Amino acid sequence: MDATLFNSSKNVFLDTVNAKDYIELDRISAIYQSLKESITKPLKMVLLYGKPGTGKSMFLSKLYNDLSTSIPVYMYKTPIIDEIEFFKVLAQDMFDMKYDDQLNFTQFMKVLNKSNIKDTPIILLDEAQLYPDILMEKIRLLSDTRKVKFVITLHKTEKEDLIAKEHFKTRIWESIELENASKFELKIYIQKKLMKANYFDTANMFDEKSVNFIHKLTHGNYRESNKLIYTLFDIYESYLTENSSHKFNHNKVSKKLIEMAGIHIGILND
Amino acid sequence: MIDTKQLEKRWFKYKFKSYLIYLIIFIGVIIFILTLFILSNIFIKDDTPINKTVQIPKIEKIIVKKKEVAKTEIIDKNITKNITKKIKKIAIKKIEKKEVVKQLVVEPSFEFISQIEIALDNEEKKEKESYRFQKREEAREIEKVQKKVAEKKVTSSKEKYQEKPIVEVKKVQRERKSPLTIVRQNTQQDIKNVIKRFEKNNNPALSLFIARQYYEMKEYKKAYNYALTTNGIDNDIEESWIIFAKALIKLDKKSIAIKMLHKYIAHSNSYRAISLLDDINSGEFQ
Repeated sequence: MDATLFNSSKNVFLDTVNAKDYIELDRISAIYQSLKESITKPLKMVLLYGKPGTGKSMFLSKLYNDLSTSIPVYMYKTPIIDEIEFFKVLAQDMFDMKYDDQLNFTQFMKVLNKSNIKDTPIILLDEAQLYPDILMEKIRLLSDTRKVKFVITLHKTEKEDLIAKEHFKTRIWESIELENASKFELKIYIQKKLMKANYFDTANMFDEKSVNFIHKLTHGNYRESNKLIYTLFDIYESYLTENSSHKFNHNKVSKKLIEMAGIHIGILND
Repeated sequence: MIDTKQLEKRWFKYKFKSYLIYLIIFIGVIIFILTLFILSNIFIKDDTPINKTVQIPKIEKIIVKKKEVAKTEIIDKNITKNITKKIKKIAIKKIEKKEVVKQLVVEPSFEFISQIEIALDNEEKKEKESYRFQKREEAREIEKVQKKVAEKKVTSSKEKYQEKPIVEVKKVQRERKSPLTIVRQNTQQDIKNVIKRFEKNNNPALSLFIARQYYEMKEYKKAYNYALTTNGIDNDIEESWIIFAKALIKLDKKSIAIKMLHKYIAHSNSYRAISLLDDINSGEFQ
């Protein structure tokens, strides 16, 4: 094993939202299939919620990637908090129209009602908890016209019970919760991710014990696990660059190095 | 690139911290066990008769204090009975515990007393025999002298042969004194042995013996303690109460002694106690 292998392996775990990096796990695949079916139903809104790092953005990205070839799908990863800007961007994307002047909600509704769209466009809004309440009310009114569908993702936090919010409680027809990976799922996730990139040697280094320990530290959170494993490979690479390959076992991931990675990213306190 | 040396240092610090908790818990458990051990040892020591004898002066202190306050509660029969009952119960419990634990039934042995008595008897017998032998010898010598006198017909020689046996008798008397001193020396050791025996089995007969011996040796405080202990174990031993009262007199606690005797007489109608009380009141016993 050389430093290049660890360098390439670490890059697999870079925290990026790319549909190509989507890893199919049984439970997640079932949830994804359910989401796809929900899209075909005459729903006004679909809510995708879960704790940060559970793969909501990846889900949305995957959905966009899969649906964009067959139906009009518009995805907004970054929230457009300004109302006029939001409707202007939406009109430009949906109707391919350029508005130099301001476009408010009433004007957008007029344009929408006049439009002759065959397939109902699907608008994917990531990080919807960042949108102002007043804009969310207008999004609700838009979905009531049934001329547009919304799939929105929300962070589920302990302090804020988003499901209880009025504008979601009455109108969401389907809500899907994403959760952290189990120990078994995390092992499959890590190995599949590495094997997908043809790094079989590094994939084999993760035995049940080491994965369990990673799970203990990250609680199966995909983002945290990615960060930890990225740092882990970074440490391996650093040792090899310093010609200190004797300091670690080449066949399996040592607990010491996982702990070092945990200390480095701050999930373990030294 | 990660600074692995720095990270290793942080890792060692983390490991030390993580083990520190276990170390603290381990030390805590050790301290807890040691504390328990020490406490149990103290408890066991408190349970031994040696400490019990130490506790007795405390009772005495209470008595003295109460006397100073001019309260007669100490002498109150109920209190004394309660104290004696408690001591009795403790003593009984201890004996029972010991019996249960080891099944070693230790009965008070008066072997040493009988040995002392036998030794004394033997000494006396020997002395008597030697005295008889000397008497016979003297008689023979007198006869010889009388014969010589008769032969020489000197009447005044009677005085001469009469002086000799007187001197020899004195010698015999001196010899009789020496074994008594030996007995006294042995008594000190005997008391120690008896105390040890008493600490083992709490037999009131032994504590009474010790009280008696100490009283004879004029160690009145000790005599008082052992008499009190004896009363605590058995409330109906007359001699123990007598020694107790006598020791109190010797310790300048006449009023307490009188009150104690009054209470005891009311309880037992003891002739000896009445007699002692009379002697105390008349000033014959001081």
